[in-house]
Amino acid sequence: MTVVDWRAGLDTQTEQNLVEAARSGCVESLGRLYERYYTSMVWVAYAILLDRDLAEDTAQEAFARACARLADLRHTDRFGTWLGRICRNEAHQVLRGRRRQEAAKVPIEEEVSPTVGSDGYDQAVKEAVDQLPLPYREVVVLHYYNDMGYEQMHQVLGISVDCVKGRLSRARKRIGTALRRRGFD
Amino acid sequence: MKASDKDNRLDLAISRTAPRPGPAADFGQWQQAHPEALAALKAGAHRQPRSVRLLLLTRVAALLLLTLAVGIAIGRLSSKQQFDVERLRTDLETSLKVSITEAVRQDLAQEMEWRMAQYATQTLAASKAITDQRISELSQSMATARWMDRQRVVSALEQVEVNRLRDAAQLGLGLAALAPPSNEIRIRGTQ
Repeated sequence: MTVVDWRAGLDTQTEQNLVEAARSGCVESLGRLYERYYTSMVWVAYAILLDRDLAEDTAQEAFARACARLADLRHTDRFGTWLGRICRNEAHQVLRGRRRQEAAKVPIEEEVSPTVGSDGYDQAVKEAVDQLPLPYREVVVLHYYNDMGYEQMHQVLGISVDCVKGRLSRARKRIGTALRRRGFD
Repeated sequence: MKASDKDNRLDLAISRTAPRPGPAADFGQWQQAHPEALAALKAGAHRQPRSVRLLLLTRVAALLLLTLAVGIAIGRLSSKQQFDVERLRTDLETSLKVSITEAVRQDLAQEMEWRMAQYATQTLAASKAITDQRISELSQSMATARWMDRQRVVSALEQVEVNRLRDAAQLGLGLAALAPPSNEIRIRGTQ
């Protein structure tokens, strides 16, 4: 199994070359793009689904869809944004399907609760993160779970760096407020 | 606790909430699970981009439309069926009655107003032209009358001159006739 950190990645020119090569049918180039973006896509999907396994399935499905549409990609320098959009659409579709199926059941299967922090602080933080509105949850997940910087989030989410910073700051404030309400100072 | 310590604690806590272990890319496994995606990728490698396909499609659609239009035109022109003029007129009347709405009526009223204004303007212009013509005719008549008067004066002056000359001639003759007796009287007086 090959594990590649997205930060060990490539400059824009190299990425464009990879995209061009991939849409000419080069499987190896597609593999490098996959390894570069897979983790980010999983977290993008996770922010919507809040389910690790589903998020991984969704990210893989998003790559499959991207393969089929790669010939239609106009701006090869915006591959990350394009792929992120496909992944989010896919995740929303999965979420809708799951809501229909589990309308009468427990809405979302809980992830394994964090064990660190015996006073319940970590649990409260986890719940606060999960209850954030989606735009805030996306940046929190990508930043804290995937160690992504502002620039990388801008590329994947297709929003400006200032917008990323603003969302992250507001998300932290919301989490802080939620924690104070639960008695954590 | 300081604000920065709180922030650090929060940052660490958020990072700890991430599900572990993190996801890892396995392209080989993905390839096995999605052979259709790779097939689509290879098929797409020989396919033109959507923008080009759309352009081609548009051209084909335009060509079809043109062909259809030409076909209809040829069909109409080559048709031997006679026109039913009466029916056409009736249809047109009905259609017009239905289609003339209040807005159309207002438009017609406005059109009529405009036409009337145009007519008034044209009438005024025509009236001015006639007046000018009359003045011109009057001026010509006056000039003619003035010329005739002058002619009459000239004739009169000629007549006067003729009379003067005739009178002068008669006076000369009279004086000549009177001269010999006067000379005889002067000689007798001298003798």
